[in-house]
This record gives sequence, structure tokens and C-alpha cells, in this order.
Amino acid sequence: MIQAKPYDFMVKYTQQKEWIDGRGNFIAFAFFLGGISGGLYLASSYFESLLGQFVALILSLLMGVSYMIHLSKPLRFWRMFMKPGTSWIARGFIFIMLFIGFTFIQLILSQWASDATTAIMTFTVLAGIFAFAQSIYTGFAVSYVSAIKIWNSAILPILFVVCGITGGLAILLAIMMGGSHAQLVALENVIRVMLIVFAIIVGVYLWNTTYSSITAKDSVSRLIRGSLAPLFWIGVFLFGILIPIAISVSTYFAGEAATGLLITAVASEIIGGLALRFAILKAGVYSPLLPAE
Amino acid sequence: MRWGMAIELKRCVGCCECVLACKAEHFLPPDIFWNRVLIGEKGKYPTVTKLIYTVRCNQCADPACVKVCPTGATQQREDGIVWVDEDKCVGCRYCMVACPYQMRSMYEDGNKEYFPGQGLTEHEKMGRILYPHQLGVVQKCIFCKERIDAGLAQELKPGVDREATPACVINCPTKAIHFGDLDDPYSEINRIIKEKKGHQFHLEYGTDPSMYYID
Amino acid sequence: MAMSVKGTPEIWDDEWVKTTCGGCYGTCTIRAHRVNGVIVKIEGEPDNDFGPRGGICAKSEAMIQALYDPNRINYPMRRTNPKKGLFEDPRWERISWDEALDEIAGRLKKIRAENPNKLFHGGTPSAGSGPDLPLGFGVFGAVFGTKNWYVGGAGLHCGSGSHMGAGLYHASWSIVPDFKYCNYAIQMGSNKGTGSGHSMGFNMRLSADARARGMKNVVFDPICNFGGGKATEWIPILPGTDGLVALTMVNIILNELGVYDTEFLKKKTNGPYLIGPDERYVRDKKTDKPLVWDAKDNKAKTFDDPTIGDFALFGEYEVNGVKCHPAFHLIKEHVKQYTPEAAEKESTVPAETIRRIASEWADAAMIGTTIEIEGEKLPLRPVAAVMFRGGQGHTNSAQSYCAMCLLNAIVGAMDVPGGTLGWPAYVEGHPETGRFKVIPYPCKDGMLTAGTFMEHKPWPVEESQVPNTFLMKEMVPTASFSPQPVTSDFDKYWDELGRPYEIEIAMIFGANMVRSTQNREIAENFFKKIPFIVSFNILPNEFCEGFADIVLPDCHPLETYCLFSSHGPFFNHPIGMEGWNFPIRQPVIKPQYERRNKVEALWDLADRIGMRGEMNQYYNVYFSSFGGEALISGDIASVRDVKQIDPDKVTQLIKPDEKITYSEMMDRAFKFYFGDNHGLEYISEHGSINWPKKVKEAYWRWYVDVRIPIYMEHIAGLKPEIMENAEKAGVELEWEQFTPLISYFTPQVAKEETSEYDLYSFSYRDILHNGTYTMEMPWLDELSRLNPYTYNITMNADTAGKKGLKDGDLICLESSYGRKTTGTLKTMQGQHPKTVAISACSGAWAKGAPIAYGKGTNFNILLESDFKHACPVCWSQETATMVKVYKIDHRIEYDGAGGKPL
Repeated sequence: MIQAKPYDFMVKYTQQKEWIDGRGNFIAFAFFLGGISGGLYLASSYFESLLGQFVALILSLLMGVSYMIHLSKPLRFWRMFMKPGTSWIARGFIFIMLFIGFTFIQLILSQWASDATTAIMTFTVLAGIFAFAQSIYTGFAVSYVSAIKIWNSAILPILFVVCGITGGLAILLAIMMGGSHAQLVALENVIRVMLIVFAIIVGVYLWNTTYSSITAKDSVSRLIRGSLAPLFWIGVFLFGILIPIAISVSTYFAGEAATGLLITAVASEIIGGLALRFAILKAGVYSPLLPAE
Repeated sequence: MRWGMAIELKRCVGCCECVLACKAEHFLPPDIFWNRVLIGEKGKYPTVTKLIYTVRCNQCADPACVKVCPTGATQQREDGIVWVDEDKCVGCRYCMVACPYQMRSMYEDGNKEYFPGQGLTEHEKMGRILYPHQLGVVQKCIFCKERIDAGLAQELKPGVDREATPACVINCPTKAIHFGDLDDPYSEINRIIKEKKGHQFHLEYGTDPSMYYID
Repeated sequence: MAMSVKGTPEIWDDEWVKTTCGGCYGTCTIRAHRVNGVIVKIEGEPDNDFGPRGGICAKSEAMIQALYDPNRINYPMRRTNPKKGLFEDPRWERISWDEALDEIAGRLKKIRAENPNKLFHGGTPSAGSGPDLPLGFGVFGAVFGTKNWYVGGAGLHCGSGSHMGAGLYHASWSIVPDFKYCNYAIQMGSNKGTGSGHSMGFNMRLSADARARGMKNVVFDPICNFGGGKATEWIPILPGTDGLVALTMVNIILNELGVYDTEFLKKKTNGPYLIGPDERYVRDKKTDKPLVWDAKDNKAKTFDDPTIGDFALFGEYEVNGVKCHPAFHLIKEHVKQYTPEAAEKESTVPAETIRRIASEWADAAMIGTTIEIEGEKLPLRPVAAVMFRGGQGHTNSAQSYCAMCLLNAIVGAMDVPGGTLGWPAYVEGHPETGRFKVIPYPCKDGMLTAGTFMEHKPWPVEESQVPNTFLMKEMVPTASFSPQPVTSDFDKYWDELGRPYEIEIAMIFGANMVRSTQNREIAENFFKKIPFIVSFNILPNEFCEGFADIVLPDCHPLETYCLFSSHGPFFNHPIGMEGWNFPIRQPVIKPQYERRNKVEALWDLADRIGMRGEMNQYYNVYFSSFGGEALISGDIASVRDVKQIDPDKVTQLIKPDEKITYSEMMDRAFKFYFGDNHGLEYISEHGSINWPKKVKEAYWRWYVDVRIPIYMEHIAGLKPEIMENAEKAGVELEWEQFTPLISYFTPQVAKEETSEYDLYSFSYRDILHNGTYTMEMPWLDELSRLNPYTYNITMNADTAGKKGLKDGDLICLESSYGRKTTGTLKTMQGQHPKTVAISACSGAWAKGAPIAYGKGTNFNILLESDFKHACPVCWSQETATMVKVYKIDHRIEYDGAGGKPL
């Protein structure tokens, strides 16, 4: 595809750049980390993996770092709490802080005061709520932008959450690789279901978006046939869906999980999740201001 | 009170002075534009129409940028003008992403010179004294609010008196840009919009722009 | 202070200075805002009509950046590289003004004693340096005594045919629709109010008013960009065929619709003049005056006989023993050959469209209607046809332009409300003094004679001479600008004439003689042979770098005085009932470094060669002329005749031995024109002297007893002597074009079409640019990059597709003469499929102008420059050329240029 010329700005469909080019890469990365961090915490809590919860905390902290790098005035970060009433970025920032706070307390309690079960349960539930919020808000932050039709979809937050949870489960699988066989099988079964759900949601999302407006159709065609096709087909489809499903299905029929293959599936799934954020952010286009031909 | 503009497209010849009047008024650095002139064409040979649109922040009545701003840096005044408090902006660019009209700029590189590698000219240096821009924050058209405020303080009428009217409006050689109060049903701008059937860009975003275009 | 300021910076200087813009020769009135010694903003002057009344165009704003351009020439500099050529590095060395002027004066003294014609001087009143048309630019050389005066435009960016034609028909430099009352305008290759440098400001404003009011604006143009882009109907046309369409419309209107303004034709044209079999006027034997036929008395009478009852426009008569017809009779018959079907073949404009436009036009002319303005009853003819560079930049320039004028003439739409107006040709003078007065008058044959003009006398035409100047214009007195001697065939003619002398010094003011005018190799060939070249400029452009031995630092328009921003009202003053404004140009800041007002520097030079007294005398004559005596018409030829004027008629504003400053001269001139209380002090503060225009000044046509030559008898008269003189120089021109009956001739470009060289290439004016100089302004560069067309080569999308080309391809345009230029393709729908176009004068290669370097494409490289590619009558260059287009891997025209990689 020819690189857009400066004079095509808002004369033709104009690609969103602020949240993908240069510093903007870090917001895509932050969204990705937020998603898997939340997903991982929820999965870890379900499968009672303290290590998983800890890794989720680390990932969330990394998300914060990525966020800070994205800001051009990071020292003013505290101002981002000011407008949760209308701004998803403000809300998200609060979610992240609360998630980190609650998870931190829960981990300390779980590690050093494991008999305080009520407290642990309370903080796990609280952290779990904000893990979910942290995961889904990245979707809302994007889908709230009505100016970008491919983003402005109710399916998008669900897609981001499912992607986050699937990624989280995949990481948990890696973490629990040496653990009990029964848990691994259970985890793997959940992953298989989630992967299929994820694939379906991606499909529904794109199909639905295509028919929502001409601009969104332009975005989808950029993903499927245009400049973003390699990212979409290799990153999202191959790594995010095809390889993990292929491994899951083959291991399902083989009956035994092969560690090497599963690691591949996990890595593949993570790449896929990251590619999805990049693909969707990059596919964001604005409708021209000039009347159509 | 809600300031707005109406552009008579028939008048505009695309000379781009609106862009440079703004650049001069606010000493905008290279590659920063608070307004632009978009050029295109419509139709197939030989039935072709050239399109020339002067565009800037639409100063929406219900602005997406104000809502998404996490810090309150982007805000709306009582008279409808949407502006950025540079001291409060963190540079998250959510406003830039959310603007359906893509009329916001991030000032990122303070070393850019109009004559690259040859130093700042006296004009650029003076600009840094008279109208300094903060690095790393978002900036945009503010309907020349400084002019409006100073003008009102002298009991001048924005849209009528030069001194109280935005720079792009008064410097247009074809008088294509009208400025006035959209809330005043008897204002000249409302008369023009009504009489000549002014329309706004992309009503579907629900932001109710204060820029009207007249074919 | 009316500006946006943040915080509370310390302000010790805050002034708005009224002056005029120097971005183009429109010279709109502006206000420049100076804060703490720095110009921060330009705004249009709201309080007078000489501009957009408060607005201004982008070029004007960007002049601030030109002022502060770090690449400007700040000191006199001498070339130390003895080699001259397009890409040679001059290796400048700073010298003092004294050293520079002494050296120039020494050389000038020598050639003035030998033969002043050895000085070749020229330039252009373009952006950048103050034009000072009648006071500096050109005058120095004319007083010096050389006749070799070469203007940068030389028929390429300028309109030779239109200046000739507008001079003949409107006593003006150019024409424009009367936007206030016009309902139906036709533009042929012109950009009035949408890009043209001619009175850019007020035309933008007035044409916008007209469009908003609903004026129909039909634009014949190969491209739908500036002119076409604002059309109510854009009609694509092949370059060079506009005259044919005009004549076809004349045919339809006269012979199919039978519509014409009888009154106008009888009283305001030479339509009733009787023409004999020799194509000449039948003259009264006693008085030698042309004869007309009085249909009432049924006999021939001199045209000015007060007893004439009715001028016959038709019929065959026998007078003085010869059969003769009224000129209009011949014209009406002559145009019958121009059928819409034939015109369609040549121009590609559908016959039906031509018929429809002709009929709409004839209807819209409302012949017979009148209008009352300020109590004066005048004919109302709300139709106007105008043409400029694009329509007449071909080898049929003069005839095509006159064909378009004929369209206006047959409906009487000339200098009447709603019609085609010339820039003001009639000024009764300032109300207090009666001075600054220009009145057109009839010649002995009753034809319109301009009160003031420049370059050439449009009327009465001089006699043809054997060429003795490098420009050779004296051979064809109808020529307005000459492409000679910067052509590929000049040496042949000069040899034939025995090489009477050679050019030893060239002095060039402003201008970019190798980039803006014609093919650069042809220019290189001419200029590198000149032993000593001086250039006054503000930037080291291609010409300075390649060829100047000494460059002198000129002032930017914002740092200098200029008495006449323009030459006179007929050049760029507001039209119609817009007011009279005499604006000033004054320094907003003092010139920095060693930059100097060019005219004062020339006076220094004049002192050194003992010529100051002669220059002072010239100024006296010049100012006295506008005092109403019309002593000189202001053209360069007349300047040379200053010495022959009766000294009693000349007011001594400057004594011969006085050495005054430029501002002192301005003060005296202002007081002389506008009274003692309107000197420099007054006008500096107010920016301009304003007074209301009278109806008879605005719409003078029926107030002055003059006629116009719709039958160009003088051309028939000139033809034999021109042919004789041309033979002596070995010059061959397309002689058929010397016909008194306005005709269409296929332009040279069309004759060169082959299946290989299948596309017409042409260049056109971009509203962001003027000449080559604006390309160096970063703001305009930014805007140009944001424009789809300014820096790109454009082509119709289907044509490009058929050739396998797409947007963004690097393409080469190669002319049938093997000349090549390259650039990036941008396809568009709004372009004639048989054309390829380049906007503005881009494609810079001077290293001293880094912003402009490598931007866009230089069109002029493609052009041929010789008599074969010049209009024989007015000497316009052929500005379109046939090319083939193909993909290429790099910008070949930059091979060897030595600048930064592209």
C-alpha cells in the first residue's frame, strides 16, 4: 500500500496514529499487559496459583510503566485521576491502582498470614473485580471513540477481555507446567474453550464491523487485504488462533500434554494477543471531512 | 453565548492565508497546524468539482475531547470555546484519538526550525517570548480566545470588530469566514446559516460542531 | 495590540505600520505588526480598496519569513570561481559597497563611451525586491543609453498577447470582469482572483463577492484547479485553442443569433471604417483620415465628421475609385469559417457546448439595457470574457487574445458596467491638485491611445526597423516582450546582421533569468558568454549562483521605501467604482547588515559615472507626466526620449546637481501630486492617499471619444516593412498571422503532436507561489506539501492508467526536442486527458536557497525558445510543449547539480 501523502490527511480515510506510532506503541503494549494481567489474576485465583497472582501483579506494574512511557508529561501522571466521571483513561488508571493495591495486600496476606482466610477472600474478590475492570476498560477506552468506527463496537471490550483471559490462562499454563496433571488438564480444557470463543468473537467482531459503516469497512479491508494483512493473518490469526487451537486439539486427541508444544502454544497465544491490540489500534481510521465522490 | 463560524465555500479560493494567519498569530512551530485547507475533487472527468475546505477545531457543543481527557486539561468555556490548559495536560493523546475531525496537534519536537539546521530566525525567537508553547502537550485552535477576551474587555463585538475576531476570519481575502454567536437567534451568522443552508461535518458523531459550511 | 500573547512579556515596541506587500506585483495594502523590533504579523489593510480590505493572501504573510531568511544576501559579494554555468559554485567573497560600485562604475564608464548598448539590463517586478518599475528598475539602463532591456517574464510568465491586446482595446495592462455587475464571465486560461498575480488582492475579494452573488463563471481551461476550480462550469480545452472557441462564438453570435451592439460597433470601434482591397483603410485624400460610409447621406465621410447620420456597418461601396466594405462587414463574413464542428475537432470542446455558451452569453449581454450609477446613465453589459497567460501563451497569442476581445466588442461589453474592464486607464487626478492624472485620447485615426503605459507603446505603433538591439523588438513594433536574445536562434540573426556589437555587462534586478523564463541550457548558453554580470537580489538564486560576478544585497519590501509600488493605475489599481488609493511602501524595520535600497545604490553608481543629473531630469519628466501633461507614456522607449521634451513643461522637483535621498524624492513627489499637506509624513502615517472615483473614471468608455481596432488595419500596414527588415536579419516568421482580420492559427505545440509525443504539457500559476522566490519560504513550502498538486506533476487519471502510471510514481516528461524534466505523479479527474501539467515555477537547484531546493518540478526545462516557438505578432513564447511520459528511477535534471541528495 502506498504511504499516505500529507495532502491526503482527512481528504481520504486517515489512519489513527497517536496511539500506535512512536510513543503510541506503548499504549498498545499497556492495553495488552492490562488484559493479560487481569486475565492471569482471574485465572490464577480460580486455579489458586499464588505465583500466577504475583506474575499478574508484576504485569500490571509493567502496564503502569508502559503507560508512563507513553505519556509525554509523566510527572503529571497524578492528574489522571481527576476525571473518572467521563474519561476511560482516568477510570482505567484508578482501576490499575486499585488492582495493584488489592493484589499487593492479598499476596502479602496469602504469603505471610495465610490463616486470615476471610481477609484473603475479601481482597481476592476485590482484586478480582479490578482485575476484570483493568482488563475490560482497555476495551472501553478504545470502543468509546465514536470517531473510529472499527473501534466503536460493543463487542470490542468483550474481545479484549476474552483475549486477556485467554492470554492469562496461557501464561498460567506455563507457570503451572510442573504442577499437578489434573489441574493442567482442567486448565487446558478451559483454554481450548476460550480459544474457540476468542476465534468466534474475532470473526463476529470483524463481520459485524464490516457492515456497520463504510469507514469501518475500510478498516476491515486494511486488516484483511491491505497494509495490515500480514499483521492480522500472521499475528492475530496464525499465532493468536490457529497455532494454539492446533496444539490444543492435537494434544487433546493425543491425550497427553507435551511440554514443548504447550510452551509454543503459550508463546504463540501471547504474540497473538499483542498482535490483536496492534492490529486493531492500527486499523483505526477516521472518515474524511470532504464529501465522498 | 456560543461562538461559531460559517464558511462560504463559494468564496474560498484556497489561498491558505487562514492557515498562515493562525501560524503567525500563535507563532506555531513547523508542522503544527491549528487549521488546514483540505483540497480534493468530486466527480468524474469532465464533470468535476474541485473541493476546498478550510478546517479547524469544530469547537463542538458536546465535545468528545473534553469527555475523554483524564485530567481536565481540555475544557470548554461558557462561550463554547474548547481549549487546553497546557499546565494540566499529561500528553496521553486520548483527545487527539477521540476527535472525529483530527484537529489537534502534539508539540513534541522543540528543536524544529523553519530553516532546518540554520537556527531560529528573529521571528521564531520573538514567538518564543510572546507566545511560548509547552513541549509534550496537546494544542489546538482556540478560536483566538485571547483576541475575543481582550476585545470584549474593550466592549468590542467579536465577528464585527477586527480586534475582537479570530485571525483567520479577519485575514481571509475573500471574506469566506463568518464569525458570531450561534446562540443568538438574531446574529448575522445565524442569518447566513439559515439563509444559505449551512451544514456541519459528520453530525453522526453527535458532537454538534460550531463550524458550519455553506455550499 | 490585537494579538494573542501569553503571559506578560516585556514589550517596548508595538507598532502597526501601513505599507504595501511585495509578495507579487499586486502590491496590496497591508499593515505590518512590529513588536520589539521584529515583524510578527502581516494583515490586510481594512481601510482602503487597494487589496482585499482587511484580508491578505498567504504569500503576503510568508514575506515575514523571506525577510528573516538566514540565506539572504547581506553584503556585496564577488564571484571567485571564474567558471560560470548552471551548477557552478560561485565561491562568493565578501567585498565592500565601495569596492563593488567602483568596479561596476569603472566598467560602465568604459562601455558608455564606446556604445551604451553593450549594457544588457533587465529583471522582473516580481516578488522579493521592490519593483520600483518607473524609478529604478529599467530607468538606470534607459538613461545610461542602452536599448537592451530584457524583462524576466519575457512572454512566459507574462502575457505578451494580453498586454498588447489590453493596451489596444482598453488602454490598460490587463483586463478583468466588472465583478460588481457582471452576471456571466468567461475565463480562458486565466486565474483572475484565484491565482493570478494581477491585483491579486482586490480581485480575490471582488470575484468572491461575484460568485457568492451568483455570477456565472465559465472557465475554459485544460485543468480544473485554480481558475477551473472556482468555475460554475469548467470546460476542458486543449492548450492554445481558446482563440478558436472565441471566434466560433463570435460567428454564432453574429451569424446564427444575429446579436450585436450596433451602437458600440458604430461609435466605439473601427467597424464602420471602409477597407479597400489592399486591406487598408480607405482614406480621405485631403485630410488622410479614414473614411466611413454615411448611410443617411449615402456618401463617404471622414470618421469624425459631425454630420454623419448613420455609420454603415455593411455593404459594398466605391470610394476613391476602389471597391470597399466597412470593416465590420468583412469581420462578420470572415468569422463564418469558424464553425462549432470544426472548433470541436481542434479544441475538443463539444460543438453543442460552444453553441450553448455563445447563446447564453449573447442573452446575458442584455444589449440595449442601461443602468444608473450615481446619477449617470450608462449601458449595462453584464458579460465579460477575459484571458491571460494560459489562453494566449502560444504562437497564436496576439490573434487569440484579440479574438477574445472581439467577443466583448461585438456586445459592447468594454469598460461599461458589468462588462470587461481594463485596470483603470482614466484618472482625472487628485481633487486638490488635479495631478496624478492619466487620460486616454484618440490618435489621428480616432483610435484609443493610452495616457500611460510601459514596455512598448500599444498605440500608435511605431515603424518597423532593422533590428539593432539584442531584443530585436523594433523589427516587429506590435511585440510586447521579446524572448530574444535568450534563445537558441539569436546568434544566427546577430551574425546575419554582422554582429554590430557584443554585450559586455549585464545588470539584472531581482528575477531569476535561468529558472523562471525559458529552458535553462539556452539561458546558460547566453549568460555565460557575458563577461561581467551584476545582480541585485535578496537571495542567491540560480541566476546569481551560476552567472553573477557581483551580487548586491537588495532590501526586502518590508525594509525599504518604494514610491510607486506599481507603475500606475493601469497596472494594478482597483477597478470599477472601487476608490482611488495611492499607497506607500515604507520600511517597517531598518535594513539590516549592508542591504540597501536598490534605487539609492543605483544613484551612487550614477554619481560615479557622472549620470546623476540625467537621472534627476528623468524623474522630473516622469512626475510631471502624471501631472497631466502626458509628456511621456512611461514606456521604456519614451524614457529614452526624455531629453527631447520641452523643459518648460517639466516641473523641476529635483535639481540636476541635487543629491537627495529616496525618501526625500518621495516627499517631493507626494507634495507635487497631492498637495503640500500630503507629503511623506502624512502618507507614512495614513498608508495611502484616498479619494473617491467618479463614474466617468470607472466606466470611461462612452466619456472619451475613442475607437478600438476590431479590424487590425495596422498589422496589414506593418507587414511589408516587417518582412523587409526581417529578411535583412534572416528572420522567418509565420507571415500569415499578420492579417488584419482576427483569425485562428494552429499553435506550434499542436503541430508537434505525434503518436509518440502525445501529451500537451503546460504549466500554470499556483495561488501559493509567484515566480521562483516564494518557493524559499518555509510556510509556503509547508502548505505546498499539504497540497496535492503544487509539488506534483498532474495527469488525468484515465490517461495515467492507460500508460500504466499511478499516483506517487517518479515520472519523466520528455519533449520532442529531447528535453527532460522529472517529478512525482498525482492523478486527477479534473484535467484534460491529453495533457500533463506542472504548477508554479518549482524545481529549484540553487544551493543558496535550501528550502526550495529539489521541491517540485521545473517545467521551463521543456521549452524551446526561438522564433519558431514565438507568436510572430506579439512575440509570446509557446508555453506548451508535446511530451512523452514514462517512469524513471531518479531526478535526472539534478545530475551534477551538486546539492543535497533528493
